[in-house]
Amino acid sequence: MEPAHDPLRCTCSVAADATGAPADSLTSGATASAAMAASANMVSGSVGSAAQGGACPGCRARALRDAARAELLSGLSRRRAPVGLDALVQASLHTAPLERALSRLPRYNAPAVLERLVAEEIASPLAASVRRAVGGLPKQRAPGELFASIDLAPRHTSRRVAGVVAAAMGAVALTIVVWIARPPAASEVVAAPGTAISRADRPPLRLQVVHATSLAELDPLARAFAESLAGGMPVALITPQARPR
Amino acid sequence: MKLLLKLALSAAALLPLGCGESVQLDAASQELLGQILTQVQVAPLAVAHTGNRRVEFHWHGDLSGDPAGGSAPQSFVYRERVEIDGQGRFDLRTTQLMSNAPINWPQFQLQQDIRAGFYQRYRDVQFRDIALVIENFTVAAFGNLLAVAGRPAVGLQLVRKIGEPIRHDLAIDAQTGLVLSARTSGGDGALLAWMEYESIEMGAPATMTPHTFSNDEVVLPPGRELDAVLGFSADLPGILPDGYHLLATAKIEDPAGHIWLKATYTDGIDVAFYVTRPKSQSLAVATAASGAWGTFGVSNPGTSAGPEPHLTTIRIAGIQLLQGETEGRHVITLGRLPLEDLQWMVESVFDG
Repeated sequence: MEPAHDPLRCTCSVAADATGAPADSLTSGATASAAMAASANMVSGSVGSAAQGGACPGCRARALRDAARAELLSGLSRRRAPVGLDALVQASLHTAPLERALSRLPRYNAPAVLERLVAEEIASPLAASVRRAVGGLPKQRAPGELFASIDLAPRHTSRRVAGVVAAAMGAVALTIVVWIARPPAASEVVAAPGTAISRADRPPLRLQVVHATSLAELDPLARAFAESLAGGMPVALITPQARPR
Repeated sequence: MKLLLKLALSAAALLPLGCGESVQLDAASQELLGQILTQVQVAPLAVAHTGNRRVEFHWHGDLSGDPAGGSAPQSFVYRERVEIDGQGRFDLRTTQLMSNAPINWPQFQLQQDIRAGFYQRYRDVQFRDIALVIENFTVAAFGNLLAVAGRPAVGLQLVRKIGEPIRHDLAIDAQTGLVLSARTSGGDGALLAWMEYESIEMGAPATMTPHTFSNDEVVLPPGRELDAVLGFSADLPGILPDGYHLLATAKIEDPAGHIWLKATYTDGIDVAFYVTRPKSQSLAVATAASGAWGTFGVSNPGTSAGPEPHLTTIRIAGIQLLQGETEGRHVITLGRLPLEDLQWMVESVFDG
């Protein structure tokens, strides 16, 4: 059986023209791309030279087949690229600069408290949810009727036990009376934290208050708070002046 | 437009209740007022806009607040640019100092940038608790049609019913509920503070660098968790100024790395603070948050001036500050309040 014709190994003039290089150079290690170029040239321009008779029969036959294929392909109608391809290409071209710009921005760490809050949320979602919902609500005092509805009287106690209880209650009551009789401090007038006490019921003030004579007397944090609440107005703008109370 | 209609209707409903007089609103009027106030309450961060506004603070007298002890009435005025994206982010930049004050401008600008978060939360008139606003304030005037920064606005005048009759004159944007102008006057009628938009453009800013809170504040309700975060017991004042309620408690850290309890109180509009830490507290590890207070030019840490335990006070633009050491704790309390109210707050924390 006759071996198939190999144009890359053929030494005829068509094969040499197609590659632009001596035929033996192809046989002695030409690259695959050069071989493909040779094949392409055969299709596009070597039919004429093959037909002129300088070619071997194998190359001539291959050139004719390729010419026939090219004619068939050229008869096919052109198909348009899918709609949106242009936009995608544009977008992909612009993505790279954006990524480069973003990568140059300084990185900021998440606030330290975030990690703890997330950990709490994961550890106990229900507790975290409840805390968010009701944590800031003011505490309400129980209505007076609630205390009245609770029966505190002992039901099944002996007379001896009842006597001891009565004596203890008497002692407690006496202690309470003595306690109430003494002048109260401010902290003792409190019904519950955060409850306003009317001025008339407030105890006398006991600490001495002195008006600042210099800025150095102010705690830096106190000064920052005061200035901030006054929109950043430096305290130093106000002339310090001694004025003991 | 919905708000404009509501404002117009409510003007008719609320005005007959009295101008300049302490009046009791009926249930329907209270509900209507509550709805409007709620919209105003959320507007500061919910209404996307960019604006330039003027901020003023006024005082006379010395640090004691006594007009006789100091100079003529003085003002501290500056302009700032505000950007709100409507999603909770904001940026605040002081752009121009309008007072003739001896201030290092770059240093002042830096300080203002650092404190922007504080200003956004506490400096300006805001409705922090609607129920308290209705309970503590009288609607002295409502419904005047105004124009601020080229936008139609509705006037609302609120006067505190108890304690010093502090007055807030507001101009509320008719379409969004944003407070376009807020003037605060003391009980004597003297102007204390004024914020007013000079120009405004509605809509999210095209470009914006949102302010980042950097003081590492941890907000927690009173309780064991807060105590654990603080490292000491969060003992709070038992006696509060009339009309004031607890708004929030939090852990904060000062520039020296000390951990403080910050308790914020409100009468619905104004805020008062009670800030404390144990005197013997060991320093926390200094972090980037330590610089968040923006105090500059302070070289003396400030200590008790004499052997007797005492508190030190100053008054600045209507704001009273009381600070000192007592019962083994540093305490700071301040607000637009009488000195006695602050002292009662401090003394009601500790046993006598």
